[in-house]
Amino acid sequence: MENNTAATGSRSEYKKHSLWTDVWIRLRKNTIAVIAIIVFLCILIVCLSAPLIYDYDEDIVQPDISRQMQAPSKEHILGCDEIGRDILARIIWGGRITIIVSFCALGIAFIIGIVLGTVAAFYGGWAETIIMRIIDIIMSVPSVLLMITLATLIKPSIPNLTFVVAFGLIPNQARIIRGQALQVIDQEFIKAARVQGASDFRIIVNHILPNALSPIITTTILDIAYAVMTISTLSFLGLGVQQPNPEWGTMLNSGRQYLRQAWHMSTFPGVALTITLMALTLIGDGLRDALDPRMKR
Amino acid sequence: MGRYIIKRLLMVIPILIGVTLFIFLTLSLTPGDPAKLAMGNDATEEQLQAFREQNGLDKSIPVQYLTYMGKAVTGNFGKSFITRQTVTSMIGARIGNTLFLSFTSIAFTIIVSLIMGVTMAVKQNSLYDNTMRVVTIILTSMPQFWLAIMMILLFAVKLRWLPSSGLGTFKQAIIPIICCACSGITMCTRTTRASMLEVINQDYIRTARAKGLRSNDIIWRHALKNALLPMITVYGRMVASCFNGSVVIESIFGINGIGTMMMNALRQKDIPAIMGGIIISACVITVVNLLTDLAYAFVDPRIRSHYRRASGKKKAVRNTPKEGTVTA
Repeated sequence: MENNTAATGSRSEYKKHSLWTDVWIRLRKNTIAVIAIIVFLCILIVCLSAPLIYDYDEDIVQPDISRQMQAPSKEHILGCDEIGRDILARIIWGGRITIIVSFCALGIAFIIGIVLGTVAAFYGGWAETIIMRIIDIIMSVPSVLLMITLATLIKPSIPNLTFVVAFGLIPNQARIIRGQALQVIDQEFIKAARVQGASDFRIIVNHILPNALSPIITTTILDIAYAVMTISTLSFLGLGVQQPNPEWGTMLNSGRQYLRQAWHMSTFPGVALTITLMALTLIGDGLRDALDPRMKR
Repeated sequence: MGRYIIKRLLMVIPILIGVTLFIFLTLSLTPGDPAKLAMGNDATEEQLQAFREQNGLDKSIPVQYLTYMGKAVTGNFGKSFITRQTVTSMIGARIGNTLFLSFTSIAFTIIVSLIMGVTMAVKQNSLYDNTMRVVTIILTSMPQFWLAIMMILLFAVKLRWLPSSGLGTFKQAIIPIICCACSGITMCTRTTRASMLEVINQDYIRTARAKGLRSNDIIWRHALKNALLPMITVYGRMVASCFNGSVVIESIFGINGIGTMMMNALRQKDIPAIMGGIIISACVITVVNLLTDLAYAFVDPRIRSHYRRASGKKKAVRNTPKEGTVTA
């Protein structure tokens, strides 16, 4: 038995390796996707190292009326906001908050989505009916409205925002994982594993998930984009990250009130947001093409 | 086919019950007392108690829900806690704006994306195609609310061509409609282009060309007709996203629609108004879902026959691709 597991283990590893090497080779040829990956990594590194560059109390929240709504200059490349805080510093720190919240939300949604999706596909019957009906119900409310409802009703704070965004991601994750699991569940190797006496958990983790991986990865990239978009939309509506904490949507919301006096306040946070979302979209497109060359247009 | 429609229509009922139950529970279990929010901070305990009794808030949650649903079935959505108007009349006064915004955006989206998608596919890899592809990718990545701010900044503040709020006049409506349509246009253009490219290289198109048909006829009749099939799903998603986006757009441009009503109602925990707004939106999404699936079945003879064969078999139902379902 031990010998057998070792054999399957090394074989699946070999297969995984070759698939991902293939994907990487194809992805590398796609210049746009490579640029997008580099841009996204730069954004990640800069935003996550924000505490090393700026001091939170001094640079981010400390008002300085003397530089109120200062236009971009050498000292403050992107200008200052309505109470004289440096916009570049706030964009970088705001990106940190957005990225951390979206990754946490994605992690939560991912775990719950895998559990719900595989349980629905694997056990079928009433478990499937209940899970899929609940997902149908959640999906039949317009998502922006649902997010707004949840975010307004529970007090706006960063952990609550994470929960709301995760809640919005779960239905789609669960559905995609279920769809992928259904495709492999009737195949011979699952039956073979069952005959060998593998437990349900083992079959799900070792056989179903690896086979569902490639669409899950593409969805995950697009889910990060969705999370970033939701976080900033909610913050823009005043339901997410609250002042004086910086966030791109929060900054755009306060910039909107000073459109006539300070164009830079509402322009640069949006540019940061658009570049991030664009990089994610392009990575997603590139990955989809690399994972499934037949889809390539 | 008829049985399928009836079955789908009946499935709407449990979904609506689920949605209302879910929202009702969230409203009841989250902190914030509707009576206090409606009567203000200086209301006495007796006044609050009277308000709760008057609106049935003193009863248990299941009783409240059942009473609400019992009335809602007969079309009585109750009275708003704040404005004291009936929810039906509140929605009636506002739904015109929301529907106008959504439907003009939808029409605009379909027209623009068809023209752009088809011309881009016909001139694949030309300068026009490549420029438009870059433009669509940039526009896809732009959040709707930022696009709205940028358009106000450019056209209302800098150039002073268009007003920055409202929906009443033609000039006022231009920016909101473009903002609302933008994400749909980029999504539909990309799919139309991809779908046209797939069709344009098929044998029957070559045959049509060989027979000497006019190029325009081939593109707009033969090719487009077949390319439109996969577009139905995307159109369904686009309609949902237009309806979705109108919430944000309404709040930016100060348009008095369902979205603004919901935002205000949520802040004040005006339970009847929130429930009314959610039910209306859920109905719209469900109907769009249904229409998408029906259109799919109606247009594609292969699917039509599949439903005829597979009706009643569980396995077939389980494996039916959920392509037509709207991801709202």
